[in-house]
Amino acid sequence: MAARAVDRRGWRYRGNVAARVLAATVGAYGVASCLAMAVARLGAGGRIDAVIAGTLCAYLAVPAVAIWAFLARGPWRAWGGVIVLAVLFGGLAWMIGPPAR
Amino acid sequence: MTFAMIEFLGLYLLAASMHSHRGVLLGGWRSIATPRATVILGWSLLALSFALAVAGHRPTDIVTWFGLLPLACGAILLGLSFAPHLIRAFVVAGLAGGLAAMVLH
Amino acid sequence: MSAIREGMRQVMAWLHGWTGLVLGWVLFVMCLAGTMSVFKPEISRWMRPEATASAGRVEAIAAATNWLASNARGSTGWYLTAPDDRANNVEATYDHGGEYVARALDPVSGAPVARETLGGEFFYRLHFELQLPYPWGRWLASIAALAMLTALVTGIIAHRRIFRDFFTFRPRKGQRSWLDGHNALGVLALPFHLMITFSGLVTLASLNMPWGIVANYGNDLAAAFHDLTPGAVDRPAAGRPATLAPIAPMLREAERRFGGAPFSRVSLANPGDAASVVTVYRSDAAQIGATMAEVSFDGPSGRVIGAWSEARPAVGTYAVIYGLHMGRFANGVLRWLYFLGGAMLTLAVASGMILWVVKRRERAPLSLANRIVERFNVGIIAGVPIGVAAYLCANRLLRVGLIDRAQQEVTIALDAAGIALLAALAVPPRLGWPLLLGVLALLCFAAPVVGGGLSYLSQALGRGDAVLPVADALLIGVALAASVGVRTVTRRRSDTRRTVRARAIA
Repeated sequence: MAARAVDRRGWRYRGNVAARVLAATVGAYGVASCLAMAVARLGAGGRIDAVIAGTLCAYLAVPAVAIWAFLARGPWRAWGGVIVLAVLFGGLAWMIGPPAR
Repeated sequence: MTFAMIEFLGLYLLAASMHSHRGVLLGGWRSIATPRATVILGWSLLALSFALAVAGHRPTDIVTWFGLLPLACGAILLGLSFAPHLIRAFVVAGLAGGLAAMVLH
Repeated sequence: MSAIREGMRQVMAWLHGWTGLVLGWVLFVMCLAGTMSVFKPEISRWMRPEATASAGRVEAIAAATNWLASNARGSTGWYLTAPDDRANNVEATYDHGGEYVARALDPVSGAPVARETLGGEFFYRLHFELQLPYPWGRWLASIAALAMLTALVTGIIAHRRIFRDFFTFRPRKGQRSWLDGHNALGVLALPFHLMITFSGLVTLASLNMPWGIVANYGNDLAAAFHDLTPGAVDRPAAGRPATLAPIAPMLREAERRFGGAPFSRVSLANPGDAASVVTVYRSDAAQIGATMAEVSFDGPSGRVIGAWSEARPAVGTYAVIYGLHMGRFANGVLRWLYFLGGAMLTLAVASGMILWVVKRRERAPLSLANRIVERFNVGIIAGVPIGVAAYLCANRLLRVGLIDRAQQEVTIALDAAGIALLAALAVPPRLGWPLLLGVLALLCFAAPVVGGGLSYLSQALGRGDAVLPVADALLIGVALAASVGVRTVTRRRSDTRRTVRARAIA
């Protein structure tokens, strides 16, 4: 096997791609949703204002996570990043709890 | 209208600063217009046109400024690809026409 | 080595290509329908050429509600859009016996216009519902928009010499030309493409990213919508009948509260009921932000029960983003610039799909999968416009009093596109392209002319109405472009054959 060539055949490659695709789609959407919840609960101002801020941020997160999923050094790292972010944002939202009123 | 013409001129100069397009877009002005001067003037005009759009009395002027980018750049691109010998004449005619329209209005 | 490709830009280019391919055909339909929706009221006028009556906003809505009161009893809701400088009829969507119908109501009599058609509304709905039932169409549109956003960002990162290539287009050089064209279409209107994609996602946010609402409101969706538009009152029906108070004073009071700005949408909830609510919305054409002010009235008494004028920064930002996507504020040159941006995005998607095939064909004979992609390209890129042209021709040719006429027009449009796609899949692309482009040219030449088109045109010219002449001119333009396309595709094929034969002889 050549030192730096990418072997495009074979199940190892396909598994790599498939795992990253899942991270870039389902994973990215999950991270974005958790981010929306975190920003909505963090937000100052009215309830709906924070919801809007969170939703707008969420859309920016999707391509960012998708790109991470394919630039990460391997599929495990890709998913690792996704899970860490989802837990971070989701945990933040859960800890803050629903707003008053 | 003013900011549209300045925007177009700025983009034209940015295109003219590129090595491959200098000859076609600048013609006889090549000798006095160095690439560096052209780039600086081009960006300045572009920034000026954006400032005019922002400061304009209609809030939609900013949207128009962004909307004119593809039109102006597309016109320059198509001129370079399909009618390079006519492009300088068109630009001069366009600017003259625009100025005339503004004066007469 | 666990990377998909060597180097960051190669990975980005790979991701850009696949993201574009997987949903490219869906995105092409969305972009084409969206671009046409820029001129939604004008298309509706083209498709209702005899409906030329006009009246003021207030009078037209009053006439419409009078007609609906007699003909849509027991309805749970009437949703009306008032005429303005671009549309002369009242666009009404109302619940009729449990099912929602859409009609254009004459502004003087309030009765539905004789020629029953969806008009431009067909393209508007196609754009975000893709002719699929709720909510699947909107979900598909949302996923496609997320793919588009990712494709845009990866395309920007992958493009090494983005400024150098800004003014580069080298025609007649095969793959190089397709790449230059795709780049130019994408980069030159990049601010528009990013804005329209992002804002498009925002318009469907309540479906595709509701988690912020869930986090802050739980199940109480009504509270969230009340917080968003506090002036719109939502209350259950009382179950007792009552007549609606005259609507004209309500409309005038609303405009007074809007500081003189016109209203555009009027929604009447449970109109025949004692707890009916009339909500009047400020026109979206008056400023960039959409839904910036609303006033609600108690139906039977005409008393104001809710009013709001948006001043909150976050909600105002949402309104501006929404308004930028709708583009209702844009008139004159700016409207045409929106059309230009949409057309460039549509062509960028199409050229990207074609580039996928051209690039691979220059490297090696196409694999089976890529041959299928090539045929789908023909079927979608040439076939969907055939559907559009068929829709317009059907509008002119179907008899005016036909039952379910509007639905029949849509069926003809979908069937035409479907047949075109099947034809493209059945024949090799070297036949498919000239065949479909030829049919498109014929239909576009026919649309302004058939079914009395020329008399409608002369009547419009007589009235000084620019919509029909400009629309007809655009149709002829598309027909000519398609004809040129036929010649280009057939000529290149015979050039290649001549070269191959010459090489064989030498």
